[in-house]
Amino acid sequence: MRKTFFRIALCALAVVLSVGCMSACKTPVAAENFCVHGKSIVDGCYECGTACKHGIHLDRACAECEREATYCEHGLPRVDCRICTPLEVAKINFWGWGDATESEVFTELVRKFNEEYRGVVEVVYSNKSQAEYEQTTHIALAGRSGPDVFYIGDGDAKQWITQGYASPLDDYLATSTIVDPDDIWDSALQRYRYDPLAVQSRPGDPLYALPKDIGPTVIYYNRTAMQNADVDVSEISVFEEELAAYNTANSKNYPARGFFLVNGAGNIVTVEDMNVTVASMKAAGMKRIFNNRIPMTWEETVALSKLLTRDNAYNSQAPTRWGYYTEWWFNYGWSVGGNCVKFDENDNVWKFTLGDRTQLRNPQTNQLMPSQFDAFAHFVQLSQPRTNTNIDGNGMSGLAITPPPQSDKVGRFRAGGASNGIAMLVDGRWTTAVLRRTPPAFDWDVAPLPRAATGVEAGHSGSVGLAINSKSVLKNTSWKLIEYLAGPEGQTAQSLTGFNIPNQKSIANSEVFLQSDQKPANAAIFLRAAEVQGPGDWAFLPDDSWIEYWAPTLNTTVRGGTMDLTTFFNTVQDATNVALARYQTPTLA
Amino acid sequence: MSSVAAIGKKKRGARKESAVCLCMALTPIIGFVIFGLAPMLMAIVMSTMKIRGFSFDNSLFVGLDNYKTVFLDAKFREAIINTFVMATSVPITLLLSLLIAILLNKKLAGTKIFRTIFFIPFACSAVALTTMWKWMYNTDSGLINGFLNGVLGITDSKGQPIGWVTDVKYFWQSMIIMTVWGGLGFNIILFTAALGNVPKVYYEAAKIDGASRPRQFLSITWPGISPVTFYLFTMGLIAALQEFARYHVMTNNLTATGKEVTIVYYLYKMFTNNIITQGMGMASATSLILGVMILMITALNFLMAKFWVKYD
Repeated sequence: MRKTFFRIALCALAVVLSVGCMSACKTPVAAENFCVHGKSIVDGCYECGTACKHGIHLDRACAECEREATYCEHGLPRVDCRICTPLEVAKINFWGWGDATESEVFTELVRKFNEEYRGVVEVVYSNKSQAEYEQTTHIALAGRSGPDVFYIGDGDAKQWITQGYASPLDDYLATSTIVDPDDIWDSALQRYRYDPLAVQSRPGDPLYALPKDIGPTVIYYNRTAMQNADVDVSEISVFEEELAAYNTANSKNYPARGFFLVNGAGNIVTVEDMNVTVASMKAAGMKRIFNNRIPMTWEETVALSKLLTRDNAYNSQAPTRWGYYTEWWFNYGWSVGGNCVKFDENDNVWKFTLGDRTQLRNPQTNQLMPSQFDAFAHFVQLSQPRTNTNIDGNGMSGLAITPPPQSDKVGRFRAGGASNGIAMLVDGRWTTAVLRRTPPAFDWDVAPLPRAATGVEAGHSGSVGLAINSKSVLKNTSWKLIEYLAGPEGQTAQSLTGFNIPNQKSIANSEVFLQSDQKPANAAIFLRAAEVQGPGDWAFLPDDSWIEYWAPTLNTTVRGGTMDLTTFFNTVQDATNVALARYQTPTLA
Repeated sequence: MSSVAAIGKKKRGARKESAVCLCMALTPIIGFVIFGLAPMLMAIVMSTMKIRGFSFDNSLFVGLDNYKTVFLDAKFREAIINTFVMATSVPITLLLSLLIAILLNKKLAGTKIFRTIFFIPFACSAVALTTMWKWMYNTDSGLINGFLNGVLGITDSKGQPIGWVTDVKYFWQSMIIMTVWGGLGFNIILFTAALGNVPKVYYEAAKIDGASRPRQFLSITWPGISPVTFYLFTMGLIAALQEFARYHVMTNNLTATGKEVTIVYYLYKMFTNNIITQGMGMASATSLILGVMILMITALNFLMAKFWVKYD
């Protein structure tokens, strides 16, 4: 019953629809050739959506629309316009270390860089703890999680280069319009040049980092203590090349020496023996003069140190317990053309030459200089007790003007006239930042490192470089950051920390670095030092294993006064040469 | 429920239990395989290779060369001497802790407080304790020199404040003192427990027999505590042969005297400071040599134990 009803209903519906359709087919079509907007249906209408905005029917090609699709409103092909189609932002990871001041400076520099390259580059700066930086970065660089740009200490440079972590920068530097390599201290640049296959660092070798800074070593001296020991520290402060003009202008006849004794007329009395008593000196109208711009000779340094050493029967009236403190032999050995290692071209191997007795000639004056051994023996002599009378196997006695190896040398310098105070301290530029932050209770300044009487000016400096990770996929962008940090803007900002010297001479020579309103007054000395000072022995070879065979003994028993040099060299010479031979292992090439 | 269904359910339950047990047993085995066996096998392989840095790229098979180089290296021999000298802290610690434990066993007032005080250093991190001692040993501003030099006017033979950890002459002594101090607490706790477990009747019988105090100690106390002493000595020696953290923290990885280079420190330097000329290959060889050394010494200890350790 129900089925029948539905069948009938469906049939009725079919009939109605058929009749409707037939009626519709019979209805005449109106000839409407224009739309409601009055536009011809042939041309199309923009409002009705049948034409483009230029009035061309959508069925036809519009040249204007095609042009607009290709070119943007800025007149550039749309794909090239970075306003219409912004680039994917290149993210650069940058790792460094440093105290709060350095972190602040770099955070600000990176902010400015990101501002300048907004939408193109984003640098993420990570300031690591200095204690962990080396290991953390080393492991990260060995894997694939390393930063694009990273600090590289000069001591690590050769190791990391050997392991292929850093990318050569020569091509970038050659085309840079921001960084001028001729304006960078050559002594700073050279330490990042290296040929890992030859295990040598020669002038033409590839450059793997751009120095961020350089920190030369100088003598920090207690000016007040010197004045109290009747040393005139205010009389003269001129460089050797300015001396003739100074003497003429002031009617003096001062020698080109760092420390000397003159009579009342200003003529030099004696250089070799300055240990006259204060009373007799004053009675004779004599004056001890310290010129903080000309390096003292070894002998002058010893004479001045004796005056400032209260211990060891030198000068019971001395304002400080110790006259002098240094822990580095570099300026002694290098002053006479020596070194602790030399590359033997015949055997193609590095050899330990700390005790080399060959005497060389000064390349500038042709004078015969002491040997490397003599220089080293003199360095050791400074801290050995006076009772040791045969340090070098040739009757050299200890001087004991320097305390035994110290753990807190800056603390002892800062102690001034207190029980363990040191009057002259050899240390790097970084100590300036410490002394500025926590000023000692006395007046202080800086002077050049001592040199051999017939030798040249020398010493060591520290430096940190900026390198690009060889695995970085954004090397060109990374270079932009390095260029910025190592360039004038970055260097100017970094100078404000007072920690180190800018890598560019032009900035270092300006008030930006010299900061005449701050101590030390003789800051220009750092610039002279930066010209001649290379890296310490820890930066000579790709790792430190060779140093461990001799340096601990030197820095404990030898400098501590319980081992003479004959025993020292007998103990360490062969073992160090064996260790040095490992650097030529072909498997490492 | 039929008996067959009940048995089936029981079996399923037992199987489920076995699976759970197997999982639980597998957990430490998997841990050992991942963190113990695999690194050990890798170390064996690496010890026969010259590896540059932390990557196997350009590494080379060199056979037993790394072992030969390590054995011929004067620094390794020096490291062995340093390690064994430092290990003298183990018997010193044992002796001192035994004495203190005997005193604490006397039922005096405040023994619990003293036991806690002695135990505190053991519960603290070695790094924190070493940092504290580092400050106390500081030549210029340390607490010890502050008293010795500042108050009593005691200096070294050159009139200088004593360089406790910077002077070769004093380094070993200073480190041994620090190690002994840090190790007392644990030993005291175990010795106190061991002393308490020696049956009192033996002492009473000995007293009746007229045995003196030293006799009682040698014949009753010492055999009674010998298993604990053996345990402490063996474990202490194994730990001493692997000593590193204290020396690393104390010297800040800057070879101060050369005496702080223990075997593990020597090994550590190989893959940090000396990674190019020595590296992971030689470090692996050294670690295996050290492992064998520890095994041999421990085996020797067990052999010797037959003569002095009494378990009954």
